[in-house]
Amino acid sequence: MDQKLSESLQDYLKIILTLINQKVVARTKDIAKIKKVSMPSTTEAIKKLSKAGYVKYSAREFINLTPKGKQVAVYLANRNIFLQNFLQDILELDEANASQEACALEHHLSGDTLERLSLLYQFLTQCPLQKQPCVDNFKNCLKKYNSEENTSSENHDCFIGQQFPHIQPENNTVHILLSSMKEGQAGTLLLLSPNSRVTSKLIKKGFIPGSKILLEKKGYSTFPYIIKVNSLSIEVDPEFADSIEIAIERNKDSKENILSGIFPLSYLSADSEFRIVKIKAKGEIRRRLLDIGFIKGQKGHVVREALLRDPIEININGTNISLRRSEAKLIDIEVLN
Amino acid sequence: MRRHEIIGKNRHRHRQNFRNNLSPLKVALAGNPNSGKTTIFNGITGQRQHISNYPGVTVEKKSGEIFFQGRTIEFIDLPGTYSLSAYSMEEIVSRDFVMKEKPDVIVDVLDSTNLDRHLYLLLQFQELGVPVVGVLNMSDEAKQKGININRKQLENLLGIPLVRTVGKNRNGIGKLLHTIVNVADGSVPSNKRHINYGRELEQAHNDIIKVLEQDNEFADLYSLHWMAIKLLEKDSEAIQKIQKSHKFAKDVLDITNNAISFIEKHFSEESDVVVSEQRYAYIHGALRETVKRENKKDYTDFTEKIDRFVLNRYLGIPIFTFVMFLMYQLTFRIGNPISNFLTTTFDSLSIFIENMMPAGPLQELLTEGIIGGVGGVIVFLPLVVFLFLGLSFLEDTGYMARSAFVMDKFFHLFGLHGRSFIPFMVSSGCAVPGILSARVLANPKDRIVTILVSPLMMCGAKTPVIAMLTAAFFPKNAAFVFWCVWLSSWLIAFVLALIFRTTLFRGEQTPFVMELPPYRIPTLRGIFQHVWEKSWEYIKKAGTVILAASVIIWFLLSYPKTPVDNHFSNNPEVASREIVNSYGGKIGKSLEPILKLAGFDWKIGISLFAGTAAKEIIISTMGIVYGISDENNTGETVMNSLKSDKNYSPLIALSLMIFIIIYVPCIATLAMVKKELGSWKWPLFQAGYTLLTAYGISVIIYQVGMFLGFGG
Repeated sequence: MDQKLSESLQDYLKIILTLINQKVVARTKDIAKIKKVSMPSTTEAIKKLSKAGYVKYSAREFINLTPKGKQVAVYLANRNIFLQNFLQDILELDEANASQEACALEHHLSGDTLERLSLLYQFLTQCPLQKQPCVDNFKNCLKKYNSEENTSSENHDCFIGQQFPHIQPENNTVHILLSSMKEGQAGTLLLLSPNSRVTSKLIKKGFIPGSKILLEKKGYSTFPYIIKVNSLSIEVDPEFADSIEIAIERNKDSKENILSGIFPLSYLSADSEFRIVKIKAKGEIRRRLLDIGFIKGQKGHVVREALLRDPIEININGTNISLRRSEAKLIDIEVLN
Repeated sequence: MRRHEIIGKNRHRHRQNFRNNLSPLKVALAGNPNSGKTTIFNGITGQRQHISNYPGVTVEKKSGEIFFQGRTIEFIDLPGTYSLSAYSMEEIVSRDFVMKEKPDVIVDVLDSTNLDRHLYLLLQFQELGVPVVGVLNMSDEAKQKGININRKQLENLLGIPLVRTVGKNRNGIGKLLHTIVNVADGSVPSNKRHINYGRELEQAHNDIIKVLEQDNEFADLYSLHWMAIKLLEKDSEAIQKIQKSHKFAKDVLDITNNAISFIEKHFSEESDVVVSEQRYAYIHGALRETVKRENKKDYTDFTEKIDRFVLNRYLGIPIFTFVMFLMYQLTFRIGNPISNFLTTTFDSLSIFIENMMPAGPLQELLTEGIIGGVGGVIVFLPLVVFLFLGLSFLEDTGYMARSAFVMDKFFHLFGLHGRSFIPFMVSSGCAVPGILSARVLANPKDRIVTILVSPLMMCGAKTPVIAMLTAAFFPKNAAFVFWCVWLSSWLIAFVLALIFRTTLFRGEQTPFVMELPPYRIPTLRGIFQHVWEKSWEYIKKAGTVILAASVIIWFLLSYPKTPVDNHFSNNPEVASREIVNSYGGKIGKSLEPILKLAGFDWKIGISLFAGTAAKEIIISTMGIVYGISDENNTGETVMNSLKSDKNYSPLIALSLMIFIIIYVPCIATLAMVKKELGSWKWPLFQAGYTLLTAYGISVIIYQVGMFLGFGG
């Protein structure tokens, strides 16, 4: 309905509405002052609006809105307020920024987008399924994310919703780290390293959560990973490979190979067989795993889990070994059968 | 053919050596955990063992001497390790021992049913350049499992003499001793490196050796093969050694770094992984040619059948609790009556001496100080014996490792290890064996934290004290209050453990990764040997300290003497005056202003001081301080006189109970801690922190209670 109006004319309409609300009457002089433009260009704009039937105006008279004009102006004004609220309430921007960015945004959003944004706002603040509005959770997470000293995995768990999960049958996707991906494998970027500075660095590189991602070439030591994010090639240092989390879709159709790709051993539940691909652990755990026989190509199977699914017992080469899930997370495996 | 030569040569050499009065041999016994190393060690040395610690660490060192073919052979039992890296205490100890003490021969005990993982360690010893003998232990089990090892062929491939044994019935021990002597004499070569890491690694290894060789002194001190491989593995100790003592350290490290980056590029894998992989690849290659497996029903089936039940997700914890219950019953149900019997025996002994000797300071020192002290040591002995009977049974069957698997998640929340449950549980019977049982924890940090907090459990000695206080002040719901105090003892212990783990003992958690060995039927011989060792060690090491401490406390509570006109020691008034005037009494009294904040008066102060000797003494001391004569019935009479004393209230009783639960462990426990952790630093710290915590909490309870008006 307001598509024909230019950005600038939309602004005029809003100003007129505000002035009428404040001072009962709107004068060209006041409009020019608020919009910081000259009198003649204001008159020009008012004439255009009058021609389109939004305002009633003739020379030396007060400006008034037609019923049609009022309707549009109210919509425009509320749209601005809504966007400003959205930025302030949900994304927690400060007032000055929010108002500035709301003004920049409003002209480019279609009615559909706006409609859906307003539904999202509603959803986040009401949250039909949970007692506490989800926006509060989000705000808590955001607070953690912004606090400088926080580099713990809390950050990750807050946004992704759970600790690095092991595979559950009802889930269609599985989260893995970039370092565990196979060349040629594709998925959806989740990102979020525990360290928010790393996350924001990666986002600025173009790793925007939700992007489609494809691993072209694995990196190691000083050689970078080559990744296509939304089919644009990006290089990234191997040091970030454990900071980038990716949702991979499970291969539902083929029964033999439920999981395609490389996963941490911690994903497996009892009675699954695997083959070791890589030991990612460092320090003493790495040494111990290597010494005890966790080497590439070795086959094994998860024998059982303790009460809270942790620790797990695995069998490698005829020996039963127990390890915590946090340790199993540091072993990459391929799933067999 | 070759064999004949060896025997011939040896016979000749033997005769010659005998004449030359042979030098004694030093032999180190090594092996993976669960290889049956201890059984072999016991089989060789029998009862002639000596236990000490490796210098500077709490890792136990066992050695034993035997006389064989006219020469003395000293065997040193190295701690069980999977490899010789520089991470765990055990590995560093083994490595240092081999490099510094240079044993004449290393005997590596291998589990024949699991050769690949066990050969991994053997090959590392060979690289160290010390003569090695491999023991194919449990060869009977291997046969049952259908594993046929071509010993001779494997011997040739590895370049290491191998001897088949069955540790549990001492099969093959004589053969092993012969082989050791032959290897030591050099008639059987065994320290030549045979392993091949593949073209790329061998090239890198040779390049590094070329530079290493340029420093002659260094080359004389260390095995260069070993150094080169450790450098490629990025071993921190090896790098340090080079930096410290190699003349051309920079060249060596440059070459190493070049080699590493070449290897990493070539294998797209980090170099330490490549080394491990290639070592395993070599082992697998060797075993493929020499070991044939028939398909037979095997032992693992048996183990798996038990585990399906014992480690079941839901049954695991109930079964574990039941096993612990049985062990607790064994230790305390059987141990306590014997302890009590011993106590009465010692009591009658001191009465006997009292009657035999003229009264005086010497008689008192003997009866109350020394016999009392020795009694205090011996009283714990039955508990120690039965505890270790239980523990070594669990360890030898293989259940101990499983208990950690079952309990780990819960204890890990508090920064502890699954096995910490055992010391906690035993300590709730008595902290002395409890602290001993903390040996089930391999990681020093876990062990220290567990030892520091487990004496907070409500032990058998604290129980009657708490029971008396609850009965006296909370007659209506004594059981409930008792239960609350018991629960808070666990709670406080866990919270303190978590605090220690996040402050004093921070840092990377040591790996939990451990083997769950197949179930085995333990040998009686092994268990008894273990129980005997531990009990003797307890008497020798802890006993002396407990004795000395008891004498000191006795002295503090009986001197200086109050002049008494006529000696009626049974007169309660006199006894009361005596203890009040003693040094201990003075200490108790002088602390009154401080204790007042927690609601305690000087009478309680003296009793608490006396309680550091043993917690149950708190009641009898109160009896003495209150001047109650009826010794047979102290508990109840003390209870009555406390109840009727207007100065005491349930609030004070509560504050006192919490104080008793937490404050300074008894002297015997502190002595045990000193013995187990090897320095006075720990028992002193423990005494200090428990005292402060107890005082702090009691003051809070009392002051908050007063504020809320519960004081009346």
